Amino acid sequence: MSEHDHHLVEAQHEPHAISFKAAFGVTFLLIAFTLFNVFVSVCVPHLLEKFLKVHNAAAEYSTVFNCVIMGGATLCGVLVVGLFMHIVADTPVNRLTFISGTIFLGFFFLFTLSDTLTRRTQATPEFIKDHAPASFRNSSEIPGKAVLIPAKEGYQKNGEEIEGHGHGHDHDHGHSHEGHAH
Amino acid sequence: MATEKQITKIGNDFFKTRFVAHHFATADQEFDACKFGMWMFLLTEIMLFGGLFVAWVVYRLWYPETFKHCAQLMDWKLGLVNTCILILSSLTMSLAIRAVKMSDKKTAVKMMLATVLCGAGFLIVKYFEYSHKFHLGIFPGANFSFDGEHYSNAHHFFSLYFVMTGTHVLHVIIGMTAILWCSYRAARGHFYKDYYTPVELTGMYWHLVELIWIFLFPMFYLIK
Amino acid sequence: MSTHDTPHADSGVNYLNASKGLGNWLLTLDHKRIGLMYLWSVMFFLLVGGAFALLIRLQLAFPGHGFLPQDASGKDMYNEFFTLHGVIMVFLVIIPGIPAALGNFFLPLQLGAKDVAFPKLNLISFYLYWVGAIMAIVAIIGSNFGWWGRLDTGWTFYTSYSIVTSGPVILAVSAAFILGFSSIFTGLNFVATIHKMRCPGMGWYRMPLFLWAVYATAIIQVLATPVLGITLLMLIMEKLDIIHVFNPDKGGDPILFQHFFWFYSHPAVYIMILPGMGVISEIISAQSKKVIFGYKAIANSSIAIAVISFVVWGHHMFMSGQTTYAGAVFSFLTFAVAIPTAIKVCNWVATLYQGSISLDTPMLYALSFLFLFTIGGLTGIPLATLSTDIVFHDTYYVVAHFHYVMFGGTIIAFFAGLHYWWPKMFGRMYNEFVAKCCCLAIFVGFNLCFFTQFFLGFAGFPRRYYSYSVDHELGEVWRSMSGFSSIGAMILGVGVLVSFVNLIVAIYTGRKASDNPWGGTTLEWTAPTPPPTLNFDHDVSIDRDPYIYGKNTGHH
Repeated sequence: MSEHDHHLVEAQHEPHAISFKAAFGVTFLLIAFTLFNVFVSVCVPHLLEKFLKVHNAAAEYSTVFNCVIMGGATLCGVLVVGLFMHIVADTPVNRLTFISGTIFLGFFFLFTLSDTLTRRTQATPEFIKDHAPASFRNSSEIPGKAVLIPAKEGYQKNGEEIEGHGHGHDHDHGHSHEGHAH
Repeated sequence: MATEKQITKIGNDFFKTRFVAHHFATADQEFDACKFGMWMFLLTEIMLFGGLFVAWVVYRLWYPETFKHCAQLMDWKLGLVNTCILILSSLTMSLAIRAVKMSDKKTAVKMMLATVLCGAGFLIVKYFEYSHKFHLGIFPGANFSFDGEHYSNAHHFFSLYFVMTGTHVLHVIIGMTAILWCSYRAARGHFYKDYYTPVELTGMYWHLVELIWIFLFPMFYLIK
Repeated sequence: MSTHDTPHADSGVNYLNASKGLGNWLLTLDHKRIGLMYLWSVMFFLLVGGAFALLIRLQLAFPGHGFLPQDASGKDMYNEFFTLHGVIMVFLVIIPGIPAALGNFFLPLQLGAKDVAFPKLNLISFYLYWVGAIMAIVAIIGSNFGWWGRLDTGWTFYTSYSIVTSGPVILAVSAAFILGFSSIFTGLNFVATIHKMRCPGMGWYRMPLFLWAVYATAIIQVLATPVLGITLLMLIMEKLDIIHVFNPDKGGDPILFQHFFWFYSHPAVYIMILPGMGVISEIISAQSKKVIFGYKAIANSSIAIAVISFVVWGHHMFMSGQTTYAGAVFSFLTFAVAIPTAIKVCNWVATLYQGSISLDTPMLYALSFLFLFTIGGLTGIPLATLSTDIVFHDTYYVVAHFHYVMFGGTIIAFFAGLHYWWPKMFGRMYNEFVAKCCCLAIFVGFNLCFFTQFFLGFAGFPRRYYSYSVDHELGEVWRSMSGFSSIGAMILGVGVLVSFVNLIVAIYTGRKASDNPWGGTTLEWTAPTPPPTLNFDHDVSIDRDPYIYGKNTGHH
């Protein structure tokens, strides 16, 4: 194409420059929601146990906490998509594009879970014992029935060694470091 | 070669005049098509991550105890730091786009470089997180050799953790590269109020990267 | 109205001869050249994939033994044949076939645009196609040199077998991954083009139906293919022992892989068939000289099919161990997808009614399509029914149904499109007599090959077996029907080969074609033949519906 075939760029639309107020406001809200989520996850269970004497609050109300946290995350997501990506002022088709993504992802979740969640009732230990191939019958690793493996001797629950460097495990750790460095 | 026709002067800055590609009628048509194309590309990214999210949800519902237990091994402080870094980078990126739209070359370049720095900070924190996990013997998949207390299916949680955050890290690196390229071109005066498509699209990509992290953070660190 | 009657300067410059040299072709951004390169690639791989199919039919022609050795190596080779037949036909032929080859060529022409929205992306997706294709070829060749085992997973790469087989699964899966991206970029390009590049005056309901079909296809490509991408990536990581999501040995779930896989691959069969439906809509209207019946119904049913196709994938998994609850839901939704499909078929037939039908080659193919696709669709209903599927599962009934839709539907539509648009693409007319004979050979060969397989399926003949015995009460059915099927396959193969030769010979020796040999009223027929690089030699606009026959010819 020769140069004179090209049109000079002269944008007809007014560029939607985000205002300082909106940019900083969204940032503030995002950080606030994030801190709130951390607060719900980390502090609230302890506070409940300490002040309201709720026994084992973290485990009892985990579903509630999880829902609140995912709700907070979703709000953050809405803010990012809506204002940072500026979908609120975008063309309808761009909005539709994004929304259709969430809808079809919803289909994916919904129909996959319609199988995996209803399957649980069938995969009881008794069912496995009666119906599974011989090599699986002693398996404890069936959905929902994972086994707790205690910490090895010389290790804390979180995997840190209790004192110094145990000889038996030194090699392993050296290896893992090497593997990472390369 | 630089004739007057190819240089645009706005304020005290000079910019390289942009011509519309031959198959578009107007600049607006070109911009709209590019932006719509980018939205569709982001849609594919959402669907791509969606697969991993579905895997996570399925396993979270199958192995609740395992996932709760594993989440306690994650360091939420580092996760929080990284979340804040990414939020900050999103702010700088949108300020960069704002500057480009106002033909403010210097601020745009500065803000884009700040975004890249934030991205680098994110990667550094992630490096320390990963290396600590490897130190504990928490590797993905078959190399999982954690010696602390854990559930027999803990490797699922950490495999998904490494794969999802790893894919995300890959996107961060791609995003940083794209932003660096944009800042280089911005410094050469390629972007001004009438033409800023690449910056706008890169910004959208970067926000998507943040959007995904916004969900990864609670999924692996906070939900117990 | 487009100024069609302005005699275009017959300078003889068109997209074919605008610039010469291999470099100009390989780096072209012209959608027509890219479409043409796709077309040659697709035709080449159609022959390769067809050759594997003929090898399969040759092996199954006789009970007990075929031409392959009667031991493990023969079995492995057979498994490789049907895997490669599947991978090549699905990923390299049917998916890119109509949209990337014909669609690339005619989408901007029918829109009245100069090019697709992102020409560079278009070229990139063509090269990604070839990267994927070469990786697939390497996977084939490597096993013959002993670099790795044979690729024997089938085109679905199901876990847990794909995790343990010694075949080049990672290579083949990477190939499919890259081909997926090629498909995504093509789809993205087409959606953006249709949204943003329609010529002045072309509203949504003034678009030719081929574009509606390509649009629906492209939506599926953009939405579903990424999920295939992540699935295949996860399978690669599974092979590398990085994750164990799909590995039952390690607490994973192989059925989850099937969910992931079919979330893409079921919509993918609509990626395959929808553009074919679009081609048929064009041809039936143009060659019955009648406005298409129920334009809006056909257009909207394309979109409906695209949407519903996302929620029916579980019908591939009725026998996999998926729960019956999910199975029942998927079964119901699968019946629902028959509605928009039937709407299309009824509208095509209604268009034919009282039309002045000219039985040219494209029309013959289109009529074959109507016939074969309807059989293919109706035989799908028993497979969507939970109770009957248990009986038909993994028998040749499934193979027959699938091929009636994929070959009888898509490939026949592809041939119809080729014969319909060939004069426009090359400015030459092929030999109609040879083309009609080939159409007949393909129709007869196809039915002989696959209708017999319904009987095989009823007689319980299992798919994917490389050898079979006839020492049982249904043995005679198995023997005779397999024999007929193999004979049909050979006739089909000859028909395809000769029709390709006929088309290619026409480029060199065919008589010159006019701008509008079929009297079509969509925009591509108003362009010069062959079209110049920028498609039209004037600015295009439109103020009429795409199909006008009878009272108004649409040209003045």
